[in-house]
Amino acid sequence: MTETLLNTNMHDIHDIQLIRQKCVDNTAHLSTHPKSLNELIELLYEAFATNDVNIDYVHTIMNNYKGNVKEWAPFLKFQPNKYTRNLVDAGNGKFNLMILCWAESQGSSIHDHTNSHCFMKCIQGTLVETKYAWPKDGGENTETPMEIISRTELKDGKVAYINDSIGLHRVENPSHTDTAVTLHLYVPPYSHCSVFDERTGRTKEAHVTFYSINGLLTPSE
Amino acid sequence: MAAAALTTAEDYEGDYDLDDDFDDDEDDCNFSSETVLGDTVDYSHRNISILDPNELLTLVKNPNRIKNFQLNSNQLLTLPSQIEQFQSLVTMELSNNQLVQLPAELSLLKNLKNLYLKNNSLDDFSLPKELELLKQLEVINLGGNRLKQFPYQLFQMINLKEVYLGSNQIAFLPDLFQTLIKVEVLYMGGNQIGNVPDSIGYMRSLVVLNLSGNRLRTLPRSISRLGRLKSLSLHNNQFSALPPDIIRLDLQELSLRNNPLVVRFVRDLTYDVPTLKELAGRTIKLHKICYDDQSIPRSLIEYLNAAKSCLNPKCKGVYFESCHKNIKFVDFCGKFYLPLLQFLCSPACTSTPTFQMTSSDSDDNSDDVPNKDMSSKFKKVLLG
Repeated sequence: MTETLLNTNMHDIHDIQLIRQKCVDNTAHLSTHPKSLNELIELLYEAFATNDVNIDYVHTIMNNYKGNVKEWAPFLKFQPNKYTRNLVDAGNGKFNLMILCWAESQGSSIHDHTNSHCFMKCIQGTLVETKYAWPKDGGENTETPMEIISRTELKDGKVAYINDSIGLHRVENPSHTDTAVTLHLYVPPYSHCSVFDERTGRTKEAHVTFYSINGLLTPSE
Repeated sequence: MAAAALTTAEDYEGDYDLDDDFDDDEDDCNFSSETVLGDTVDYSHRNISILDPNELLTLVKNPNRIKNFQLNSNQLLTLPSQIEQFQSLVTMELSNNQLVQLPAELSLLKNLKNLYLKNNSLDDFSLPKELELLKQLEVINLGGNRLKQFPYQLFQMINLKEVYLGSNQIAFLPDLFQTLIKVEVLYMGGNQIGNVPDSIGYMRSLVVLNLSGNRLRTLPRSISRLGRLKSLSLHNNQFSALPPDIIRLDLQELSLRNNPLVVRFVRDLTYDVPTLKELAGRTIKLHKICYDDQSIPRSLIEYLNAAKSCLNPKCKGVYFESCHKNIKFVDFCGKFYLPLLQFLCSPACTSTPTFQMTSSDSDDNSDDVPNKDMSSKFKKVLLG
């Protein structure tokens, strides 16, 4: 959007420009179609350069990024007993970009996102995301099965978004023959979250760890 | 856990089909010079429905030197018998084709260790009997086919380490697993299995057992003998309670989601009144009354010898057919209460009333449940 102003002196123009800068989209000059994983990371750093983050822009570039298997190869590490979280970029502490590898039938627990935005892009295979409502707080000893809000299938680059105000979710690879891979972006990053028991709604804190960082395996506990 | 912990980790990574991304727009090329590289032949993603033996043997001058043959992601219905000439073959990758029949000549490949047949159209008649001659085979992947039976040939392959049979239609497992003593990974998810046979307890090398997406309500007690088992997937089944033997395992991962696990006790757990024969048998065993084939018929001796001990360690009683199924909740690694199914000789053997959820009171320590020692063992077990 552009506007031409008439009959203003230089002083006013400067103030107006300052005001405009705050309203104008600070990601407008950036590409919306990252052609590589590295470009996606570069654009994310640009988008996070200030404290004003344009979340719509972030969603757009996550959506448009296509990528290929050769880029993801260092982060594709499958384990037979649990899905793996492989950090791609720590985003100067403002965001975490990671690749999750789901072997056949592997799934997560039901969890929250500790006040962060979570973008999840399916880049290989198929994932099923089941969203749950927050358990109603009936006190320490009540036990009520958790309520499912929705169940969606994610594949072919589709991006799902969730945050705590939307609800909780469980993510699973429903296939018994094929693996699945997801690209996750968390804004800001978090190292703890709550996990929930589907049958009772009871919750417990969980420490969130990385199987690998920059392609290197983290030491086991 | 680091990758080094489980030997199968590397095999898993190899499973990933590097040509398989959704942004695929490959040319439809045929046999080019890049096809043969060293000891590998790569004919994957070629859109071929028949493997012409003449063309193949023209291109591959020394078939007996080839160790790795990639034929995945084509439209093959079968293989030519000339495959026999690839005598050095170690890995045969045939996943994602339309295979309906395998040639018996496949069994002549004495060096074959890895056979990948995932996502084809193989049924119980597609696998030749001769396949059982592949006694050096280590990895077989038959996931995503049309098998209705567990392939009997596999029980003869005594060097198998990894068996993948996910997404088939297998409803019954024969009680023949005692031969598979080297198997480390057994994937049976996504079938219609209603029962796991006792012989599974003989699979002493088992590290990963996936039984998810079946129709299981219980597990055999022999499961507690699987000393190396680290990962047990039981999600999407019909478990309402778990066998207490599960506590003896040294698991790192136990998945239980989507099972109708009992949350609260059901007050009307039925207890069939024992027969007179049962009551007499119990009395004889409890009072250690001597018996032999001079005093009672053979059939009764067999009956008495088949007595099962009551799970309540305070009770010296036994039961035969009639037992009380008690559900005791166990705090698994401080996370959730899981119901374990106990077989007791009578309702009187439960230390706590059946309608109360157990908590960590003194009763727990006397029963066959994890004490503090064991629950720290399960701290890393991931549930839910």
